[in-house]
Amino acid sequence: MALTDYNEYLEKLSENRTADFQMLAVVGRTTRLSAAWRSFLPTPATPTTSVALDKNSDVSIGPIPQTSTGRLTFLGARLTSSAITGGAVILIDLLNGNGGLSGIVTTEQTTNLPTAALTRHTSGEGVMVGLLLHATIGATASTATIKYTNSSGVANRISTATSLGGGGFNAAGSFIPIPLQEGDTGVRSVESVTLAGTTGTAGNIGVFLFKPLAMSSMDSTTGIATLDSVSTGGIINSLCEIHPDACVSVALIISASAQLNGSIILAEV
Amino acid sequence: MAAITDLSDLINRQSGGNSGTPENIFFHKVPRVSGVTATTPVAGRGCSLWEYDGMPSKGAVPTSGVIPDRTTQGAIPFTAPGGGRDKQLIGASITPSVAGVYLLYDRLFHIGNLSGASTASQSVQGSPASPALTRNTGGAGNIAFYEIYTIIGTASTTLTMTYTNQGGTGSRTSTINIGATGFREVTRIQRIPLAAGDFGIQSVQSIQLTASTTTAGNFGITIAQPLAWIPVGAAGLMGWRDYTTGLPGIPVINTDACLSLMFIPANGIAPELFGSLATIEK
Repeated sequence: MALTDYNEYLEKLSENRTADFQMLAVVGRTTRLSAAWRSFLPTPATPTTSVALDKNSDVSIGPIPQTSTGRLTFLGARLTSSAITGGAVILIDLLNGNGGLSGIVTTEQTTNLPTAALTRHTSGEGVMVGLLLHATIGATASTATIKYTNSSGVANRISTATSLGGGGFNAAGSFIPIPLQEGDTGVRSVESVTLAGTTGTAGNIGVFLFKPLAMSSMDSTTGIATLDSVSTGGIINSLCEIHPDACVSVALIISASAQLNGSIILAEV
Repeated sequence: MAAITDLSDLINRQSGGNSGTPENIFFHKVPRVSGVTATTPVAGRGCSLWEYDGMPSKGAVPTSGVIPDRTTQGAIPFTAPGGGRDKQLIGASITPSVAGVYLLYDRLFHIGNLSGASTASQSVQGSPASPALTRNTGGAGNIAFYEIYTIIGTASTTLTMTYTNQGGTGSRTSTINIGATGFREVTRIQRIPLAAGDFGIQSVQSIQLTASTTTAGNFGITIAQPLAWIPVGAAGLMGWRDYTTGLPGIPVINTDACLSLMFIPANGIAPELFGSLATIEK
């Protein structure tokens, strides 16, 4: 199904079916990815074993409208921040997540891995991996690699090393995207994580697989963004399709520390 | 290109109607090359993201001249349009850790293994061109730049490019400086201006250095078709462009395009970035 025309779009917009999120704490990491869901109200549990996530998970915004046979479609967003900040609000489908990995262990870590089997986007094509710092790790800069199965089903792929620990890469809430081995375009599962050196503090690291859905712009002069898919601009990938069971959540890149709240406008078309 | 009829046509196709086949493409890059911290770029000057790690993964350094395409390692992947339709770029966004101007382009041709120490003529595509371009073959709007793969020397010299312009006229020449600080570092790119009156490139026959930069290193020539400029005013802001309402109109992405990124940073800091492209078919 699809929207027939502009009038139907307006009708769907006027239904005002929203899924909301509210954050309890300021995101302190700026100019790089952060996991907004870690600070959602109510506070999500910190996972241990990798679990498949869906619209009923505590890291999903909600409520996600029930759909019949139609297409769940992203129409717009209303976003506010506690400070005048700008940035990107990245709507993502969180596919699975775990916790319990350490920032001081330099041997291959398999704690609470492999990741739970994908229940959506099961080939892994376009699926990204991020390391979420559930708790602050050390101030010593290091790097991390992961061992994973790519979207073609080839196992034992090793990502290229990326920064972990040290300034900008150790604060709780940081969401560190993992660059893939040459030639890969997606991830089906993650089997292990290896740090090149200790960061100095164990903290708590989790592995999350996610599929980006859309990017929305926060206005830097007001910290407020009221966006729809047609009249305002500021949403790239608007009218995207969302899986009816998706764990729709929010990753942020912001220019200044802030706490965000907002609503995502959805419709079945 | 079949034009979008009106707003309703756009909405319909963007939500999956009428074979609109909307595709939302996401990518991220980290400031590392093969796991090692990327060379610091120069503020206000061009830098290639071709070799940056991320998703998609880094592109390989070319040796001989080749025509990369959407399946080439390092290209931002997308699904080829079907049914004779065009893939149309309706929006793009980038949120980087460094302000600057980011350019999405189709990498039409590239070659590496050129020497910063040789003063002999170094063949690029030769004449007749081999391989010749397979996309935007008329050449209008195509640009050429040199791209440093391994650091070259500290002496500044002049690079002369001999090329065929958009009108098919060969043996056109133009020059640009190369070598010395700011023009030798890995990932640095420098656009090569064209001769007066030219506005595109069909092929590059050869390049020649006036003098050695003192180190051979490894540099290449890339021919590119710019698709989308995305300015970002400050670190952490989302630069975005809606091509349904803004310049330069809706770019068509060639079925085989090798989509890649370059940027001109406002500060000498290698960026981390997250971005997306929105496309429909008609």
